[in-house]
Amino acid sequence: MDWVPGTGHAPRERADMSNAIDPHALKAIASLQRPGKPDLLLRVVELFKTESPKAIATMNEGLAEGDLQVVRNAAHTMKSSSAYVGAQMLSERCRDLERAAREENFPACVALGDGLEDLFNECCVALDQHMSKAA
Amino acid sequence: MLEAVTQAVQMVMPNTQRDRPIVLHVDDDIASLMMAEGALEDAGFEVVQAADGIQAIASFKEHEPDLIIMDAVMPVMDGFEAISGIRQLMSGAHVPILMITGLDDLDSITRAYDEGATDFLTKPINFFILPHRVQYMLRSKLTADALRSSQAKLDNAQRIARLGNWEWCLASNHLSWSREFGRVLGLQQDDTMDTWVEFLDRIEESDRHNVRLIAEQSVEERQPFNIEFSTPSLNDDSVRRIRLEAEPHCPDDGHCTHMLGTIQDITERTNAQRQIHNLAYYDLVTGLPNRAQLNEQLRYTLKLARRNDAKFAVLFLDLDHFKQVNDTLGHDAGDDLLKQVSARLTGVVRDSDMVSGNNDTEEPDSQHTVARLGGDEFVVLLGQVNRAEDAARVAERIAQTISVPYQIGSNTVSVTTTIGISVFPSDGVTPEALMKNADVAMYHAKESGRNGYQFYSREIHEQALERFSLEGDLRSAIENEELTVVYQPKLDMTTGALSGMEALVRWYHPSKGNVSPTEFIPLAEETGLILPLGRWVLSHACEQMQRWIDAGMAPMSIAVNCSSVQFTHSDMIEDINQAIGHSGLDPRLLEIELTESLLLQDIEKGIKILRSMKALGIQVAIDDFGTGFSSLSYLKRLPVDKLKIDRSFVKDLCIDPGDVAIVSAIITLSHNLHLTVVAEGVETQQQFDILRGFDCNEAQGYLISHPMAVDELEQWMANNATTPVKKAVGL
Repeated sequence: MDWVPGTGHAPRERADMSNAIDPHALKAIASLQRPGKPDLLLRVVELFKTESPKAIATMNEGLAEGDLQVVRNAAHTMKSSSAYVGAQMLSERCRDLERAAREENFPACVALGDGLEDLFNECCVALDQHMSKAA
Repeated sequence: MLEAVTQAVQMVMPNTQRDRPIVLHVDDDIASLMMAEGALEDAGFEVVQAADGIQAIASFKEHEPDLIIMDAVMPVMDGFEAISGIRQLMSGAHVPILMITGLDDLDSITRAYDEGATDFLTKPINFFILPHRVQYMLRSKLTADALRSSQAKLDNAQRIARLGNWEWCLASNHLSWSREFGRVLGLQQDDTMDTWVEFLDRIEESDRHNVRLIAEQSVEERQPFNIEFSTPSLNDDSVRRIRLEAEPHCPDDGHCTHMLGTIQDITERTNAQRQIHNLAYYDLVTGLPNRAQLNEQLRYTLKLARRNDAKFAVLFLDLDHFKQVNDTLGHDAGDDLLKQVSARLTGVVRDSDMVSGNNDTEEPDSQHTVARLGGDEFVVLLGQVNRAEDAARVAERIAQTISVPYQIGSNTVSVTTTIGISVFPSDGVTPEALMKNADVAMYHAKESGRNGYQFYSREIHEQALERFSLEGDLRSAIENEELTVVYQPKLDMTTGALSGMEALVRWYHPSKGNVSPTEFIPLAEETGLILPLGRWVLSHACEQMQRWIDAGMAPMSIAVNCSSVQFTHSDMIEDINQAIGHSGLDPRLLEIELTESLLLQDIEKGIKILRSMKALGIQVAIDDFGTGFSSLSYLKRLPVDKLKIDRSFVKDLCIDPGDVAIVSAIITLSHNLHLTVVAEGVETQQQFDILRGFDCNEAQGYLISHPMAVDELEQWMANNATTPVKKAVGL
C-alpha cells in the first residue's frame, strides 16, 4: 500500500522460494475439493501457471504500446488469480499496477511491470515445492 | 388486462419446486469458477457457469437461476451491462444478483447498485463465506417474493371484490390508496388524488356533504362509520354506488392521527337488490304491488289509522268471467285483460282520491293501493275513508268501470267484478282479519248477486245504502227546494227589544219526515252539497229579512251560519256579495257565524278572509265560543264583532259555579275587547237573570222563542207587538 513510485521492489529472500506462496491458501483450495471430482488444487495451480504468462505477455505488450487499459485489465485478472493461490506479493504487485494503470501513471506502470515475470517465476517454483510436499 | 394480472401473479410466486436452488456464476477467471463451484455444490446448490455477460444472459434464459454471482470486469460484455440486460427481462426483474468487485473499487460498487445488483462481494472471494452469503440472499429473496405475492393477491382480491383501501393522514390531509381504490372511483392512469378534499370532490354533490360530516364526526367521537354514496361513472352518464367503511386511528393518547378505510363498488349489488325487491313485491304481469307488498302497505295503513283514529277499507275483488277469456282466447289475451283491468282500477282509485279529498287532504300520508293477489284477484286498499259509504262509492265506480267492454286484439270482451269490503276497525283490526272478511264479503256478494259489492258487516252495508239514498235525497231536496229556513229571535237584554234573528235550515223529507240537521249537515259537508245548500240559505235569509223590512218591520240583524267547507272555499265572499246584492239588504244587518276552531285551523288565512268579510260591511260572530281551543291571544287579532257563548255553559249556569266563572270571564273579556256577547240556549228565567247580572248583551233560546217558520214568526211578532217579550223575561 505504501508504494512509492520509482523505488521499485528489490528481489528479496531469493533462496527461500516457498515464502512467495502462502500455504494456507493452498490448503483452503484443497479443502474445497469434492469427492470423486478431479483434483481441484492441481487444476487451479495448473491454470495459474498456464494463464499467468498470457496475462504477463498482454501486460508487456500494453506497456510497450502505452495502452494502459490493456495493462489494467491484465493486472486485474492476475491480481485475483495470484491471490487465490496464495501468491500474496505477486497479487499486491498486480494490485498496485492496476491502480497505476487506472491513474494513468505510465512511469509507475513501467516500474511495477519490471520484474513482475520474475516474481511470477518465483511463485511457480514455490508452488511446485509446496505441491510436491503435499503430495 | 386479466391475462397481464395473472402473469404478474405467477411471476412473483416463489419457486418452491426446486430441491437445489440454481446459482449462475459468471466470471472470466476459470480458477475462481472452479473453486466457487466446489463451495456452492457442497452447500447444496446447483451451479451453472458463464465466462462473460453475453453467455450470462443466454444462460439465465436457459436455466432461470435463483441467484446470480456476477463478476464486474469481464471481456466481451462486462457485469454491469449483463445486469442491465437481465433486469430488462420479465423473469429477471427480481432475481437476486451478487456483484463481485475489487476491494478498493468504490465506483464499481456504486455502479453495480445503479444497474440493479442486489448485493456485492469483494475480491478475492472468500469461498467459505460465499455459500452463506448466497443463502442469506436467497432467504431475503423468498421473503420479498412472498411479499410481492401477498401484495398481488391483495390487489387481486381487491379487484375481484371491487374494494379499494385508503388512508387519510389527518395532520397533512394527505390521502394514499390502493390501485383498486382508483379503479372504483374511475381514476385514469395519470389522475392524482392526494388529499381528502379531492376525494370528496369526486362524490356526487347530493352525498358529498353527508360523507364529509360523518367523517368529521367519526374523528370527533372516535367511532367507525360506514356510508353509501354515488359517484359519476367514467363510461357513461350513469352513476356508480359506492359503500365506504372507515375507522379513525387513535393512538393511546386519544388524539386521532389517521383515518383508515375501504371503498367498495356496490352498484351491481344495489341494482340486484332493487330487482329482487321488484320481483318480490310487484306482480310481473300488471306491475301492480303483489300480495307481499300489499301486506306491508296494509300494516303501515293500520298503524297510521290507529294513531289517527281513522278508518280505512279493504276492497277484495275478482273478475267474474276471467277464466272463460283465458280458456277461449289464451293466456296472452288473459294477461292483456289483466293489464287493462289494472289500469282501470288504478284510474278509479286515483280519481276517487280527489273526490273524497273534500277537506283539503288533511292526511297526505294516507295512500290508496291497488294490488294483484294472483289469478284474477285484486285488492284495493283505501288508505283513508271518512265513512263506509266512501268505500261503497269507490266500489260502485269500480264495478261500473270494470264492466265497460275491453278490446283484446280483435276481440271485444266483457267481464264484471264482484267486490267484498271490510272496514277498519269495525270489520277487523288485523291485516289478516280485514283480508279474510273482505274475501268473505265478496262471496256473500256473489251469492246475493246484487249491487256488485257487499260490506262484510250487514249493518254497515245497510247504513251505507241508507246514507247513499239519503245523499241522493238531499241532492234532490236542494234542487227541488224541499228545504226550509226557520228563524230564531234574539233579545237585547238591556232594552228587551228584538235585536236579531238566526237563520237555521230544516229538511222535511217526503217519506221520512223531519231529518235532523245533525244528520244531514255533516252529510252535506262530506259530499260537498254544503256549498249549494249554504248559498241557498244565505240568499234566502237575506231576501226574507229585506222582505220584512220592506213590510215595515224594524231593521234587525240576520245571522247565517257558515261551515268550514264554505269558509275555506274561496267563493264565500262572492256568495255573500251576491246575496246582499240580490236582496238589497243593508250589509250591516248581515251577520256571519263562524266557529272558533274553523278560524284557528289557519289563523293567517282566517284573518285574511275575515278582513274581506268586514270589507263588505257585514258583521262577524264567533259561534259556540268556549268549546274549542278558545285562544284568547288570537281572539284579540280576529276582526270580529260578536261572541256567542256556547249553550253548554248556559245550561248549567244555575248549578255549576265553574260555568258561572267561565261565563263571567268571557263576558268581561269580550267587553274589554269591545265585542258584543250573545248567550245561546237560554231556557230559564234564572239563567237570563244571571246573564243580565254579568251585563251580557243579547240572549237567544227557548225562553224567548224556538226557531220558527216565516208564517209562525210573523204571527208571533204580531202577538208580541209591543212588550210581551219583555214581560216574558221579566223586564
